[in-house]
Amino acid sequence: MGKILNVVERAYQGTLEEQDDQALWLVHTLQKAGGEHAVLLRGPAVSYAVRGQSVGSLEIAGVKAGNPPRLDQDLEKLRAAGVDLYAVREDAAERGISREEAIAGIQWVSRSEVPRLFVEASRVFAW
Amino acid sequence: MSKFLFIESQDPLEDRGAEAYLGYALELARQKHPVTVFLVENAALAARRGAQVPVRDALREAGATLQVDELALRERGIGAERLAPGVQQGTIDQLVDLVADPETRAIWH
Amino acid sequence: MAERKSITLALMDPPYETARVTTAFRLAEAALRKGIDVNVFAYEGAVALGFAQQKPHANSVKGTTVEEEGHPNTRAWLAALVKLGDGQEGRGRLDWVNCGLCVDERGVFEQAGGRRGSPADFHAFIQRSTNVLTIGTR
Repeated sequence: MGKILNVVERAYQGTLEEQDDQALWLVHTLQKAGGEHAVLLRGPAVSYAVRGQSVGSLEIAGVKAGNPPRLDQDLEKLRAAGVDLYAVREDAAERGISREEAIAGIQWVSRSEVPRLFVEASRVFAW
Repeated sequence: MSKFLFIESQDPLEDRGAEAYLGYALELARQKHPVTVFLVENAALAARRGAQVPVRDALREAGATLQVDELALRERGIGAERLAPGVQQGTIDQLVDLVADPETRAIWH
Repeated sequence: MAERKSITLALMDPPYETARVTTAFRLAEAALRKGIDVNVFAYEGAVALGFAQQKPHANSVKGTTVEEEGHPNTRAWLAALVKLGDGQEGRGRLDWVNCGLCVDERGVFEQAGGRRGSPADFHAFIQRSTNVLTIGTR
């Protein structure tokens, strides 16, 4: 039985307010609970793979967000926890993202290879 | 061959994610996996005859089953006579049966 | 005897914003009536679906009073699903879990149904479900 494939496309909606990505955070907790998960970044979420991104701090009317995420590092932590990381090559290229600027450890797949990942996975969750 | 159920909720004319998922479904159907695509919510707009959604027709030609939520059709004023060829009305009961089939891998987008 | 079927729905949307909540509620009802167990993991904004202090309102655009409008709050539907999902008379059982951290950060402690839980509950649901639908927000 393959891993659960979490296809993440919604991006940067929780960065400041939630201080993480809601799907990646949940996958991390599920993996720690004993699950076997993989993450496929598609659409805007391929940008999470860009190395060194940091939103910095956010302060609105004197209220400061204390600990914004480092999404590239969050991905690396997922990988260290045993989560396989994939990203769609064409989705990155369309956005001008090169593999050289991405973190290591991403397995780049073409759009046409995504269905193969669906076949190999035990379940597919679209986030 | 694995059985797949794709529940699409987004309008593929507007949402590139929907376009991508219907493309995945098409590729799996072409590989002879049994595929059902069940359109709900704004994805039902793709079910109307004349809606310009080439992937819908390609899915039919590849042997996929295409169903659309009858409530979403009523909500949008799409009568059965206005459905594109090969698209069938489906009920929520039918959708539950598909989701509860242990042989089927169900994916909501 | 055949193994009981169960499905899991992971919800993220808050009340009244999208059609996904409506579809999820319809799916849950249909499954329960067929004797299929339903697990719900309410995550992020979805924990407000059962917030007990929701109140119906009149609609001045339509000129209707509260009674005439007949606008159910999501808490009423959630409570009705919990009642329906009692596992009696061939119906399925509903286990509705609200992500506790998400409840805390929204302050929606008073709930019309379901129980407080965590992603560990979602993990357990995944292990025992026939299928899992992640009905995420967009």
